[in-house]
Amino acid sequence: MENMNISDEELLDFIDGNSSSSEKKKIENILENDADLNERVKMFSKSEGLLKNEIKSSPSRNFTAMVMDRVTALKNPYHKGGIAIWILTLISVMACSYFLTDITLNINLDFIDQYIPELPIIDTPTDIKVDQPFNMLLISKVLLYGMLFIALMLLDKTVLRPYFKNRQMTHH
Amino acid sequence: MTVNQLTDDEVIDKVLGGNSDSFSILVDRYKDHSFTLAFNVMKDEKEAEDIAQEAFIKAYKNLKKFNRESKFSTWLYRITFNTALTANKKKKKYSSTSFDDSPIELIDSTKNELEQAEKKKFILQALDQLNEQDNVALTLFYLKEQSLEEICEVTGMSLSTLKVRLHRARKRMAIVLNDILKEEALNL
Repeated sequence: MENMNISDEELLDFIDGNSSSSEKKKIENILENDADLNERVKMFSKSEGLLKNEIKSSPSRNFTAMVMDRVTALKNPYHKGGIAIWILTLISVMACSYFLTDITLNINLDFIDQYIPELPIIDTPTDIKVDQPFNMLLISKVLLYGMLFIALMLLDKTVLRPYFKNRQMTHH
Repeated sequence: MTVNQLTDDEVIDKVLGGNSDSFSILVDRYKDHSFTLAFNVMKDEKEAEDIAQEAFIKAYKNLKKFNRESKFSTWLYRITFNTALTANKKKKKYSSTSFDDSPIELIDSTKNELEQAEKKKFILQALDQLNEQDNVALTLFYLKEQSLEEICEVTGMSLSTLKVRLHRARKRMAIVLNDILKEEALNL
């Protein structure tokens, strides 16, 4: 690949336009009479032209949209910060339910007695005790608030957010 | 100021400030180069697209860790290169690349598109003669967006090594492309 004292490195610098003026002149002089060197320059120029013009490729048209879909998916409530929000919300709902349960138990309902007719007293065994291992009222309230919360989250994710996002995109 | 006038750092600040949609500006800006890098390593459009996507997602997830000492593009190309290397290692375990098995079939394409596809095929064939590091160095060199120092950051080579290997790779590409073009001319 190397002849007439011109190395491939020198030739590539010449093609790139990086050779000094003396080097450039030297190569240009040799090129006038040297067919071999002419061939080498042609070969390098062809390859350089092809690579410079054709090496760049482009992905599909919806590439950006696909990447952004994945970015959006990363933000869903099951990921990272979202999990913390879920846990915090759950704790809040439970605490709130407990508070409400206390209030409900302290309501004085004595005034209702005047509207209820007296019923005959029936002898009932007094030693029967029904153990309730769980506070059913609390559990039902937690479930109720939990379901309400999930419903609101779903409404936000499936209806409200897409609606406002579309509106924003349309305005842009 | 329009979106396109924002610098990479300004866009990154927006994303880190909670406006994740702004990340699409960076995707649009660097998708071609990132895809080209992946494509020249993988030699398969579908796989290259997956890798380029993966690289952008990794960049998004680790944006907080990006120290901004280098350009965002340099950091992204390094991620793309490493992702492509890992995928290529897995791929090579199970198969080998064959260009003859992948004829260009562009039924509705114009003559110009066919010619371009042919040229791309020749380039891929020639790039296949290089190892992955030289391949990526050469690709970045011809994409002309990165300086030699930045190419060193992406490939992990020293500057002197890069210069020697670039010269060698360019020479090799010239010889291989010359042979391919001669062969094609004979087949016509």
